[in-house]
Amino acid sequence: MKTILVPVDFSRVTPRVAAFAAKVTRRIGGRMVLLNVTQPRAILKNHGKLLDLVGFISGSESLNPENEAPVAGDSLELLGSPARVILEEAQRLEAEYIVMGTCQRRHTTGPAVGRVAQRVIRGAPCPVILVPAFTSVRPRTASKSYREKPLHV
Amino acid sequence: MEFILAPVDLREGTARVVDEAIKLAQRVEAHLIFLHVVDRPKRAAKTQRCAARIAAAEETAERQLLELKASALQRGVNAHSLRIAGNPVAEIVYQAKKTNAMCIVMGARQHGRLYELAIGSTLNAVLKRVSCPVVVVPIGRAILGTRAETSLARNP
Repeated sequence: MKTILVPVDFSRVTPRVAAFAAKVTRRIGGRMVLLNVTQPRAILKNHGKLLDLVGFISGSESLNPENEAPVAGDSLELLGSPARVILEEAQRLEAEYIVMGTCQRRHTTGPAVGRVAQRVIRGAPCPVILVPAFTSVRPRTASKSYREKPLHV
Repeated sequence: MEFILAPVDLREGTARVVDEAIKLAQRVEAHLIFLHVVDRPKRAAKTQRCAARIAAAEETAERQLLELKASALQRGVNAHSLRIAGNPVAEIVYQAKKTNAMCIVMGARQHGRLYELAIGSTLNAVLKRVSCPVVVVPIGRAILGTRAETSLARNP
């Protein structure tokens, strides 16, 4: 069965990441594995949050307003360096995709993704799906040349 | 009907991005749009030699795009191809919004930090401006081969 690995850090983008991962999992008929790489002192706090997210797998009503079918899946809590653990789990589970969120650095000149996501992209054995942290973007027009003349459709 | 946008630069590593895009489109039953943006420098186009080179590159790109489209159609995916002249980032963002793309499939080249600081990466700029998920296909050195092999592939 195809596995979609979903590393979560319980930031603002996490519900969007889990929702998109559930959508893809449902479409391709695979299984979704929520992975939280945690620190020893945060285990209890993060465990509660992970249980909340498991609703995406079991199809709880609050996380699934459109009443979509529940997806097959699992949740993991591991200790260690996030990027390394995510890559190891992706290899072990033979993940088809890794679904992660981007950080909210829209108006800065630096990279659009955080350090963990950058390391995961560099070492990933499979494609990485990045879900943006923001839902609305300022409408931007295409360059003038396109508006004048599409070359080939 | 949902669309997956696959911007391609038709350089080494494109085959892997295309393959992943087709696989995803097959699985989620979405239409696939191959987009190639020709970044046409205005000043250079004024000299005859540059204009001829750009025209030749555009012709090659057109042919390669049609080949990609045909390969997707062969694998049972509804594919479209689009070639546009303009700024790559602006065009990708615009097309994603216009088609209400389910996601964008892009390759990630492993540039060094200095390259990203001086030249920047299209993927990074797109990630900051789109609201739909972006499927990043890593194009590592292992896939591109050694530098000698790459230059041999370019100039056989």
